[in-house]
Amino acid sequence: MRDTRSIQQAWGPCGRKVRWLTLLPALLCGEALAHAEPGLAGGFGSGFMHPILGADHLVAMVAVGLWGAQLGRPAIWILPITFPSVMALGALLGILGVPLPWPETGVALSAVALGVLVATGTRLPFPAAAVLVGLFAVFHGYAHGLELPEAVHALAYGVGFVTCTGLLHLLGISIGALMRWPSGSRIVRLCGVVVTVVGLYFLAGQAGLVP
Amino acid sequence: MTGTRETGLAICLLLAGLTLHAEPAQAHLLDTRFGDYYSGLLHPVTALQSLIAWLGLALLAGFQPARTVRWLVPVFPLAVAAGAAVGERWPGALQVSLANLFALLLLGLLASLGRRVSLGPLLALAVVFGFSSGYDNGLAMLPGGDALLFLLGVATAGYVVFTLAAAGAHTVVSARAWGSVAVQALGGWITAIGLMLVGVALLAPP
Repeated sequence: MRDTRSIQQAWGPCGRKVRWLTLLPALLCGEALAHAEPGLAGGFGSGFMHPILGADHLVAMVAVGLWGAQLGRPAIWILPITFPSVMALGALLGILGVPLPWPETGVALSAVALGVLVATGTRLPFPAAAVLVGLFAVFHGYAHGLELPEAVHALAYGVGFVTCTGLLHLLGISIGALMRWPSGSRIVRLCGVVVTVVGLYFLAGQAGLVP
Repeated sequence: MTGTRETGLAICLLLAGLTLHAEPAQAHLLDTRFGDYYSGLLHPVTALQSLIAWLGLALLAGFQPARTVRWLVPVFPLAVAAGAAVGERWPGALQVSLANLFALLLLGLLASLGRRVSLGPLLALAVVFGFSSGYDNGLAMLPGGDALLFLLGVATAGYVVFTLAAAGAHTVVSARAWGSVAVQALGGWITAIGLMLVGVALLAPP
């Protein structure tokens, strides 16, 4: 007990110094950036983070990959190849300011629909699946294009969100590879349930039911 | 003791002399002898538009037989160098910005289809696109710089980017079952970017 007290006495001044030192990281903080960063790197970063920071975008893009994996060939490779191009058309509509009704609701609905399709393991004919996913791609692209900040590098922003979307599809396809094992199919369907719940939350938000 | 003091004094004098002799620190190479070479080397890589289109051509090359691709390895950088030379010499002669955007779209589309293209059309595509892309880069040459070094830099970038990316794409396509799909998907990304840029260039209000 005496030893402990003597240690506290010995380290007392140091402890105060250490407490002051904890304030040092505050001096190292960079400035808060409320707006998109300009330039090439800033544009790429803004575009890349856009699908990630919107959870409804995020889960819907992963769900496209999951559903592609469930549908198998040719959907597993045609959907990731064509989705970015259709999404780019949607982005173009957004950049040009062409009005599209309820774009955010469309994005949330896409997450719900894709989640239900994955959770139930529904196998639509390929043309129907392509049309449905293409429709969703327009809404997602429109949202990205609409929110293209004027300050950022447009090309870098486009490269960023296309790359991120493609990688999210790849993530979904990779999770879909679990279906080789019997329990893997259940995991994929569970992912579909999670996607549905997230989509419903955003849909409720659009309806003003949740803050 | 006296010897030690003299040695210390000599070291101090030496350090003082070196300090006085010091020249301004050059963090960048633009003012040194080969600065324009590095400037030319980095410009297409950091401009992104050239880089993505070059990658599109390389992805397309990945679906062609090795014998065909070998023709492109010297032809493409030479076309880039020729375009950069014309762009540096006659900056207002051509309007290539929109053509380069269309080339980006076309190359992405062809790569996403993953089809074979015969040698003649492929060479023509590489020459025309390489020239227009090089022309665009030649416009970025700083006044008063060494044009030859800049052109060599741009051509080196074209050679390195195309050769490495085409070799990688060709290896992936031929060695892996999923290789074609992966390279086609990357082509799809480039198509999407090209589609968006062409649309903005043609339709967006000024």
